[in-house]
Amino acid sequence: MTRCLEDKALFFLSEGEANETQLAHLQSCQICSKRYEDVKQDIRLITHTLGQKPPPLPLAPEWPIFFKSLPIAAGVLLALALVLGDSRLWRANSPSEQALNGDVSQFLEQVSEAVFDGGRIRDIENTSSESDLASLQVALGESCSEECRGLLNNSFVANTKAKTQTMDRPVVTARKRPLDPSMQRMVADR
Amino acid sequence: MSDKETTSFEDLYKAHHPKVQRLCRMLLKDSAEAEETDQEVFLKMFKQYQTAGWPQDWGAWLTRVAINACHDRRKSAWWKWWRSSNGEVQLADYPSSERTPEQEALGREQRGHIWQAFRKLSARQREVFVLRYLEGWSTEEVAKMLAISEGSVKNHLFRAVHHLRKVLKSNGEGS
Repeated sequence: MTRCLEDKALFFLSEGEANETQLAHLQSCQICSKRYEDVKQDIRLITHTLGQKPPPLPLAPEWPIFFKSLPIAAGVLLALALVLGDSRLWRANSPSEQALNGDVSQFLEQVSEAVFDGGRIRDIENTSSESDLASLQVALGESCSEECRGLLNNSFVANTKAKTQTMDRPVVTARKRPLDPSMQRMVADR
Repeated sequence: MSDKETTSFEDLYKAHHPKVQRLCRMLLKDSAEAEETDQEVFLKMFKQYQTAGWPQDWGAWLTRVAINACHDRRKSAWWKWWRSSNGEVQLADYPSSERTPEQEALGREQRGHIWQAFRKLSARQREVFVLRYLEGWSTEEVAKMLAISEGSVKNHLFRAVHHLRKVLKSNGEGS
C-alpha cells in the first residue's frame, strides 16, 4: 500500500490532475477518499459563500485612523528634523572654521599694516603725544616757550595729515603685531 | 446566442454586467471603487464596440479589461488605504443572491469569517480564485488572462483554497 496523499495532491486531484498511482491509492484508501471528498465539499461551500452577498464589514472603531496617521506624522517629523538639522549644520561654526577666520583676520591686519606703513603711523602717534603735552601746558597757563610753540604747530600739521590718512584707510583694527617674515620680504621687495 | 449575433450594446451590457460587477467587487475591497471600475470597464467596452475590431469573445475581453482596471486601481490608490478603515461593503445588487442548501447550512458568523479570510488573501490569490471558481474559467484561460504560467495559477489556487479551508475548519470546530 502506498503512502497517503498530501493535501496538495488531493487538491490537484480535484482539479483533474492526477497520475495513475495517485488514482489507484485514492480508490484503495478510505481515509484519502474521505479527505478528497472533504476538499471538494469545502471548495463548493466556499465558492457558494463567496458567490453570495458579503456580510457587512463591522464599522471600524476610531482608533485605527489615529494609528494610521502615525506613520505620516513620523514621516513629517523626520523630514522636519532633517531640514532643521541640515540648516544648523550649515550655520554652526566649527572650531576649525573659527581658527581659519582668526588666521584670515590676522593676515588682513598684516596686509593693512604693510600697505599703509605702520612705522609712519607710529611716528605720528608719538608726535601727537608730544603736541598733546604742549597743549596741556598751555591749558594749565604755563608760559609757552619757542620750543613749545613749534611743537604745537607740528601737532596741528601732524593731526591734519593723520586725519586725512585715517579717512583713506580701510576700516581694520590695527593692533601692533610683528610682521610675518614672508610679508616683510614682500614689503621689502616693494 | 454568440456575441457576434448580439449587435446591440445594451444586450451586451445586460449579458455581461453582473459578472463584471461581481468580479470588480471581489477584487477590490472598496465597493464604491468597484462601482467606478465597473463603469470604467463598460466605457472601454463602448469604445471598443464603436470600432470595427470586435473581440471574438466579449466575456473574456471584459474579464481581462476588468482585471487590468482593478490592478491599476490597486496600484494608484494608495490613499484609498486611508479611507479603507471606514468602508462598508454594499449589499445591494449581488448577482446570485438566491440561497443554496450549503449556504443555509452555514451560519452568518461563519460566512463572515470566510469573507474576512478571502479579503486577506493576496491580490493574485483572489484573482485566481475568482476567475477559476466563481467565473468558471479553466486553469489555462486564467493563466492566459493573468499572463502567468499554469503552474503558478495552480499554486496560487492551492494556497488560497488551503487558507480558506483552514478558516472554515477552525470556525466549524469552534462553533
